[in-house]
Amino acid sequence: MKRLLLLALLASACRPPDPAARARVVERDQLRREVAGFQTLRRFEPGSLIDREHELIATVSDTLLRELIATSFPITVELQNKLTVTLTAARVVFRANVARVDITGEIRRGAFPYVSAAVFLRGAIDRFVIDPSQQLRARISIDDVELNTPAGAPAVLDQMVINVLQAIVEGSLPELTASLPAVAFPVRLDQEMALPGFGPEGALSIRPSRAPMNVEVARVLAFQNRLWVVLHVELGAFLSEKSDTAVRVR
Amino acid sequence: MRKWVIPAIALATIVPLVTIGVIAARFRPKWAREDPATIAREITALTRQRDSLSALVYDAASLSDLLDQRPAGDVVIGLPTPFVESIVRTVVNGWFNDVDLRLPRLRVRKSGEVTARLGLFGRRTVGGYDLEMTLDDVHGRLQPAAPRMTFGGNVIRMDVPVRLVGGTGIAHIKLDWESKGLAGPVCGDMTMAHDVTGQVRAGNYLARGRIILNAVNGVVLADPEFPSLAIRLFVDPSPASVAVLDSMLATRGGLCGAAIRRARVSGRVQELVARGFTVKIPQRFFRPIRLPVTVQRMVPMTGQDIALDVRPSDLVVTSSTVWLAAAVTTARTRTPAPLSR
Repeated sequence: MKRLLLLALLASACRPPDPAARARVVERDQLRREVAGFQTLRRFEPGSLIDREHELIATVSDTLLRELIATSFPITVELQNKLTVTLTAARVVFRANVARVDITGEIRRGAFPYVSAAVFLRGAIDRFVIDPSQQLRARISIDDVELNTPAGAPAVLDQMVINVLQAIVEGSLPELTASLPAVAFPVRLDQEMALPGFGPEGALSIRPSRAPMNVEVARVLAFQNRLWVVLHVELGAFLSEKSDTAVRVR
Repeated sequence: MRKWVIPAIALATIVPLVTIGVIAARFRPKWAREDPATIAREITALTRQRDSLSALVYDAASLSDLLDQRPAGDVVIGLPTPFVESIVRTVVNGWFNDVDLRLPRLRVRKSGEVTARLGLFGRRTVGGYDLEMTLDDVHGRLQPAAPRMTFGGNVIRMDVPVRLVGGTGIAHIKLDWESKGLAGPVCGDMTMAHDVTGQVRAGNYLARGRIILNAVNGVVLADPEFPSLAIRLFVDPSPASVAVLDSMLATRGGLCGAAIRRARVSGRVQELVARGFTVKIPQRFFRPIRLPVTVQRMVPMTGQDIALDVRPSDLVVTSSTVWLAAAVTTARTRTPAPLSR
């Protein structure tokens, strides 16, 4: 079966390359993401991007984001057919309300034929959440894979090597995406407010109380070289800790 | 040659080729699987849509007064003033949530002599009383009303109306009566005790102070500055309870009864509590507020904690937003950074 698969991949690789067709698909996918990013903001009138009573903004510069993502590299992912992808660096660019991430690396086969190529992943930072540890996080999603500068095979076979490896990497995108770091922003959002008790002192005694706080990511904007995360916060009423009705929202 | 050989060879050739063809089609590059004309049309439509949407969004963002006075920093947190007000308002309610005012065991005393005009003998001392009241269980509750707040720089001036709502109290009353003069042989000395119940009088108070916003270690703290608030707690003895006291005293008749009535014991009880009892709500009662967002010095990335060099700048308060900004670099790439940019 493995041989059949290899032959099939070779057959598909025989197709003459069409860089223009490939570029068009990449462009289309990027545009889809950009339009989707803008559409989430469409309903806002000037000055109304934020519900000022219930929302706050946390912004992070692209420089810091790049540094944070860089701490997770290099990342090595083992793929099928003894192929190993090593991702070495990431570049973050904010464009058209999308936080684009371009990741570079290398794919290498650990058995004969010892082929390798440069890997270029295009994606974006999305799926922003406040995780259970109250950390603001996001995931990197990959839209597109591009391979170039092949090595290890005769030059005449370069395009075939690229096409075969490309097909394998595209088929392994879920694994590659899962291996990418969850981007943690250095912003912590409390999910409750606590007031310490008081006394008994003189005539006064107050039990400690807590108010549940529900925090959600409302929307994300990417412009001015910053990522702007709008967070919706609902603070409940303070309830004494001993009260049966005290609820902690998690 | 047997007739099945040719079909067998054909089968052995065609099946792998078809399989290879199917798999090859499945593994075609993404760009090869779609119709170029359809992609080109979609690109045109999406470009048009993106350009019109981007104009709308950038207009909306650039016209927002929230964003244009943002301080510099790698991490900047913007808290719109209505958001801060809303949090502070809820916390102020929390300050007074479930506040139990309970007077400690208090003992008040009143003593004096009672004189009466005794016909030919003129005004004479007929006795002395010693009235001791022990307030045993007097308690009330505080409830806040909506505070009035005024933002000015990093200071929020506040008036918090506070209402002392109903409570109850029990007082143990002990009366020592010492007959004097002519009443002495008739009445003798007397001691009586009785429990009087009462209601705590409702009242309105105003806590007036301010809250100062500060940035401390990547957190916005709201420190209250309220002078001590004095609440005067009045207890009104219940008329029925006092009437029982009076009726106990009224069992004495003649000169004795007249002498004791002159003592106006129920009136004295009223006088003892009439001035009320002051309860001080100290400055410490108004506890600091920590706003719910923090710039962290450590972030977890792929199983390891990354230390950050965080240099917060001062809080910036505009008419619309409270800004907390910090220059942040990963410790790995630590470079000298100005406090604020």
